[in-house]
Amino acid sequence: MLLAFRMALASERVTATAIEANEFPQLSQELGVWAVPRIVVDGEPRWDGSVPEAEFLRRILA
Amino acid sequence: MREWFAELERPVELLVALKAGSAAGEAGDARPERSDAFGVRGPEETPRAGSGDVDFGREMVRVCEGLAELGERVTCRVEEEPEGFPRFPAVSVRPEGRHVGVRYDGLPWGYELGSLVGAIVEAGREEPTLRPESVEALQALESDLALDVFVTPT
Repeated sequence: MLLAFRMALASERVTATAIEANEFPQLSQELGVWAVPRIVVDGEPRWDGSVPEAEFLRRILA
Repeated sequence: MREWFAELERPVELLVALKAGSAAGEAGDARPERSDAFGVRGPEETPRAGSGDVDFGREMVRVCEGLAELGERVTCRVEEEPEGFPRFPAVSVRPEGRHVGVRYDGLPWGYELGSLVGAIVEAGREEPTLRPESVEALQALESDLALDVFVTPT
């Protein structure tokens, strides 16, 4: 999670929101959250699990 | 934690967003519907726990006010349904009181409290802590990028 926050702090173009999956079941169900962390980019689920900074960046910019 | 907050290079404000009426411990009135990037209709609010004795909004205020007590440069402010918050409770982490797009939706408890603390520490730094090539790539973005990370307390 911290990596996403760091990216938001590094660029005015980026926003990062942590969403407590258990507390927002409606949204979690809509996005099929079964595992955490689930990373969603511009509203589209992209992947589950933590990855290193370079790989995180590569994936969100892909 | 006090030591981390003592090293903040700039002030960090925690803006706690609550559903209308919840600050007073009352049920919120029906609000106009709206949607966010996910198309969710209306502001989703953390449901009461099974026993109904946990008020997530009040607990969020308690946590954030508690964090603010640990560092002179950390402050806490509470608003009901401020603009730009689709879910409640939530907290926006704001370096020097500025909106920079760092938010936590829901009560950060258990392991996830560390994510909020980490966000405060990061927001209190003058310079990004990412690799220079990462910062360069992010600052070269020509369109907005919304990252949402679903987490759980464990």
